[in-house]
Order: sequence, then C-alpha cells, then structure tokens
Amino acid sequence: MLAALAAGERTATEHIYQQNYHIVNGWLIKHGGSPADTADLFQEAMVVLFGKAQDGEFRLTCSIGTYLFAISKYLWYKKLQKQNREPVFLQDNTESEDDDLGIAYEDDVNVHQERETHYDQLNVALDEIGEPCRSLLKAFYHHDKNMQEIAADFGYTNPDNAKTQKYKCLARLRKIFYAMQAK
Amino acid sequence: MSINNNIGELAEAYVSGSLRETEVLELKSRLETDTVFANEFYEMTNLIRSFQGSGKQKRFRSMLRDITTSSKRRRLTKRPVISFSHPSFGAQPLWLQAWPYLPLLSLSGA
Repeated sequence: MLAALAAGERTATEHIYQQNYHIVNGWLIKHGGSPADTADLFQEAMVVLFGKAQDGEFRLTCSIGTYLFAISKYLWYKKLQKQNREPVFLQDNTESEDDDLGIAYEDDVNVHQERETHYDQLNVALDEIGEPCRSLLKAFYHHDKNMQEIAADFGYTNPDNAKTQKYKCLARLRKIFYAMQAK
Repeated sequence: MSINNNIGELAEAYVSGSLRETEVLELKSRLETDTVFANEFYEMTNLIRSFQGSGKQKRFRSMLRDITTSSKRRRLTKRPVISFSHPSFGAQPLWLQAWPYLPLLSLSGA
C-alpha cells in the first residue's frame, strides 16, 4: 500500500484517504476544528506520508491510519500554537497511544517543512528565469510532458532542439538558484 | 555519452541511472580530480532531484484535491436508502410496509 502511495497511484491513495479521513475529521471537530481545517490538515498529513514513502528504506512502525492521525494532530497543535490558541486538549486520553512516537512525527513534519521551503525557493528561481525557460522546465518536470510534446507545444522543429533548450535553461536555473541560496 | 557533454545532460543521465558502467567510472574519476566540475555537477544533480521531487509532489497534491472534491460531492449527493430487509422495517406503519405491493394490488383489482 505504501509503495503504491509512493508511486502516486490513485486507487491506493483514495483508499487510504477514505479509510482515515473521517477519523481525523471526528477528532478535529471535537477539538475545535472545522471540516475545512480537516481538509487542509489531512491533505498535509497525506503529503508528509507521501514524502516519507519516497525513501525506499522507509518502514512504518505503526499502521498508516495511526501515522496519519498522529501527524494531523501534531499539525493541528502547531496551527493552534501559531494562532496563540491554548492547546487545552493536549491532556486528553487519545494522547497516550502515540506519545512515544511524538518526536519521530515531529521530525517527519520538520523535514517535510524544510522540503516545502526548498521547493518554494525553486519556484522563486523559476519565476526569475523568465520565459520560455520557466514554462519549458515546468512542462517537463511538473507536468510530466515528454520532449516530443514539448517540441510541439513550444514550436521547436524537433525533440532534440527542445532538449538542447531544456539543458540551457537548466544551466541558467542552476546559477540563479544557487546564487539565491548563497545570499 | 561522453562525460564531456553538457553537465545538465550528464547529471540527468546519472540521476536516472542510465549511464553505462564505464561512464560512471569515468565520471567518478573526473569528480575526484576536477573540483570546479564536481561542484557544478553536484549542484545540477541536486537541482534535478529537487525538480523531480517537487513535480511528483505537485501531481500528488493535485490528485488529493481531486479526491477531496469528489468525496465531498459523494457525501452531498448521498440519499437515504430504505431497506425492506432491515429489522426496523417491521416496526413501520402497515401502509408503509405495504407500499411496494400497492401497484400489484391495484392491478389485480383488489
């Protein structure tokens, strides 16, 4: 199931989503959240799990449901802390089941947030590079288009020309991205 | 592929694991001896991996949004189902219990 999730398979993702969403939703509603909060938090927890699952060595020490529930709870506490709202429910009895794993979840969320920041910086560099490089690189890496499609979309005479342009764009992006990192 | 080719192409082939064994050996020896090349190469492989990772995550997020929307739609369009095999059925008023048979009764002239 985790391998299928890592591969981004819809059936597995939908199954995990349907199995666990209502559990997180029930808990969050009881603890001051809204259905909209659940939608945001649960999606983020799914992305944390997806990120972890990309590492072939990753093994879950609990069930997928327990992991998603704990990550969602942790994200909710963090959100409340950010809003300066008192996390009064930290004392509740649902805490005991994943107390020992709390630190690991915290690490996973921190790694996820660092990765998000890194991706944001990449997007800033992409915005700085300008067109057509921005759209070309996005078409290849974000929209999973092949060089044949890119050549047709961007008006290159053949896929090889599009490929040459892609490498020129990558070289420019590398300079912009690492210059930003050095600042 | 020669390792003298452009770094982007070389880094992409390295990340995808499509370099031949001899090319990997040649690359490793250049990485050890040419620090400027090594620095550019590692920056490029990191950039490509980041790009691939962000692309994967973007597509995953988009799929999650789609799943959220479709499950919300499913919840909203769910209609109550009357089950005649449910134990509570017998507790319903007689006219409600009999309604599925009413067309048959009227056809037989009862």
